[in-house]
Amino acid sequence: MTAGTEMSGPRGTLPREVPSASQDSVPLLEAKGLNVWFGRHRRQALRDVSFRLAPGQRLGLIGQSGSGKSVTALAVMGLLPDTARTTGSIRFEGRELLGAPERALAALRGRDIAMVFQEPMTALDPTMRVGRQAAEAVRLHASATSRATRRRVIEAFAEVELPDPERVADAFPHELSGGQRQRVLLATALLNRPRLILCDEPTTALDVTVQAHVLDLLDRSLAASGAACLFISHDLAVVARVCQDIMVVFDGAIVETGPVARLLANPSHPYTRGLIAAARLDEAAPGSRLPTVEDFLRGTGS
Amino acid sequence: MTAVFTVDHVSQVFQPRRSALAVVALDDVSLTVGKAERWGIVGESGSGKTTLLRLLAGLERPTSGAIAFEGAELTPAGRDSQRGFQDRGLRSRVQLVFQDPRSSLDPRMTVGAIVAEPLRGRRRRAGASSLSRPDRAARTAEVLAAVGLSADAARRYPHELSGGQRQRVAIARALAPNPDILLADEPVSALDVSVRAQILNLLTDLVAQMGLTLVLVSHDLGVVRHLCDRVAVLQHGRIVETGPTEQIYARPRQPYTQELLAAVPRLPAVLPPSDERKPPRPLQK
Repeated sequence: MTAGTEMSGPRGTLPREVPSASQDSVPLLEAKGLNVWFGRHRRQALRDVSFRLAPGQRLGLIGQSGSGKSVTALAVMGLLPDTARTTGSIRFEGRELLGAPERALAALRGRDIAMVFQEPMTALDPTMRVGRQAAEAVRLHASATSRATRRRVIEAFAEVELPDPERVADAFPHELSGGQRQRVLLATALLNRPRLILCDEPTTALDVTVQAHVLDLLDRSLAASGAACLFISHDLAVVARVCQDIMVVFDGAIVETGPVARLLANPSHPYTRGLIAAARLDEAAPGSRLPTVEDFLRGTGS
Repeated sequence: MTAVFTVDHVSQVFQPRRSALAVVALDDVSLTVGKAERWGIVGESGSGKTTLLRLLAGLERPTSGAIAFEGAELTPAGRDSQRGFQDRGLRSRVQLVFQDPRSSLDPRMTVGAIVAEPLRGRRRRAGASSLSRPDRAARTAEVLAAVGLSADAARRYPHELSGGQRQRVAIARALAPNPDILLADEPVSALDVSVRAQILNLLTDLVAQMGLTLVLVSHDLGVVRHLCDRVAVLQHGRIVETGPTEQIYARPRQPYTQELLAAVPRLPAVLPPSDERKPPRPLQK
C-alpha cells in the first residue's frame, strides 16, 4: 500500500534517480553542450554551453547584455519562448530538464529551483498584495491552511529584514520601495527552501546603498539555507561580492571559468581582462580615459 | 562673474491628492553652480536629486525659494516659466540626458529625427537663425559622429540599437543645439559596466571639448568622482555635504557620505581574503 502511494505521485513527475554512492560526484545542476537558437533566422543565442554547479556552490555568470546570460537562466527554468530551439542537456540532480513535460517543470519551479528577477516592479503583480503573491509560491507546492501560510510568509519577510512584515504583506507593490520589493522577491524565492536559486541581475535596478544591503541579505540567506546560486550580472564587482566561482560568457559561449580570485589575478581571455579593467573605476584617475572592453578585444589594452 | 545657476533656499513639497501626507522632496537647498564647473549631485533614491535637476531645467517650479539663471530669476511668481525660459533661449542652452534611453527616446522616430528635433524649435536663441533642412541634416551627422555613431545610424530606430548606442543618441540629441549647460540624470546607471566606460569616456571628452557646465545626478560616487570636480551630497532633501570631489572622496565628513562611498561595489584588490566568504559546502573538484 505504501509503495503504491509513492508510485502514484502527481502525473508528470520526473522519475527520481537513485542517488549514487558518492553524493559529491552528482552535480546539482549540469548543462552539457547547450545550444539555443531564436526565431526564423536561427540567431544562435547560446553556443555549446557546459557547466556544473555543486550543491551549495555559488556561480557567477557574467557578460554583456545580449551575451546569453538570461537565456541560460530561462533555459534552466524551462521558460524559453516557443520560438527558441534548444539542443543539448540540462540536468538537475541527474534528471533531464530539456524536453521534460511542462507539469514536471512547473512542479520544480519555485520549489526546488527558484528565481529572483531583475525588475521587481514587473516581476510582482501590481494588483495583488505582496503577502498573497508570496503565499502563492507556498500553496502551489504544498497544501497548507491560509493561516499557516501567512505565518510562514511573515516569517520569511522578517528574515529578509523587511520592517513591519505584517504591514508589508498587506501592501501593494507600488506602496513599497525598490529595495523592499526586491526583498519581497528574495523572501518569496526562499520560502520553499529551494536547492538552487537563479538570480538574474537582482540588484541592477537598485541604487548602491540598497544594492549593498540586498547583496548582504542574499549572502546570509544562501549561507543559512545552503542553497546553490547561479548569479547573473554584468558587474564583476557585484558577482565577486556573492560568488566563489565565475563563468564568463561572451557572444553566447563560455570563454572562461574559475574561482573569483584566480580569474581576477590571471584572466586568460581578453574579454575578461577588459571586464576587470572596466570594473576598476575607482582606480582610474578622475577624467582620464577609461579602458574599455573593446581595447582588450582589439589587443590594445594593457 | 555671474554664476550659471544660483539655487537660493529652495524647497519643493509634493502634496499627493488624496493623502494628507506631504512629501518634502527638497528642504531649504542652496547651491551655486559656476561657469564650466562640473557638479555631481549624489544621494540615495528619494533623496531629491532628480527633483533638484528638474528645477534647474525649469521643468518644475519650487514651492519656496528662488532659482536664478545667470543672475535673472528663473521662476518669477505668476509668470509662465516656459515662456521665461524660451525668451532667453534657455531651452537650447540647457540640455538634458536621462537615465533610461529606452524610455527617453520616441520609439516611432528615427535616430536622425530624434537628434534633429531640438534644432526645429520655433523660437531659437538670439543669433542662431532657424536651421534649414540641409543644415539640420549636416548638424545631425556632425553630432552623431561626435558621439561615435556612424552616419547611417540616422535611419535606424531606437529599438534597433543597443543600450550604449541609445545613450549615445540621447547625448547627441542633447548636444545638437550646441548647449552651454548639460544636465544628466544617472546617464550610465542603466548601462553595462563595460558600456559604462565608453559613455564616461565620451562624456569626459565632450564636456572638455565644448567647455560645458555639467550637473550630473548619480547614486554612484565612483561615476561622480570620474566626471565631476565638485559634489553635493543630498539626504532626505537636504544638502549634508558639499566640496571638491577629491576631498569628499578621500575624507568624507558626514557618516551618510561614508556610507554612500562604502556601498560602491569594488573588486577585491588583488587576491580576496578567501576565508571571509567560505562556501557553505565544499566545492566540487
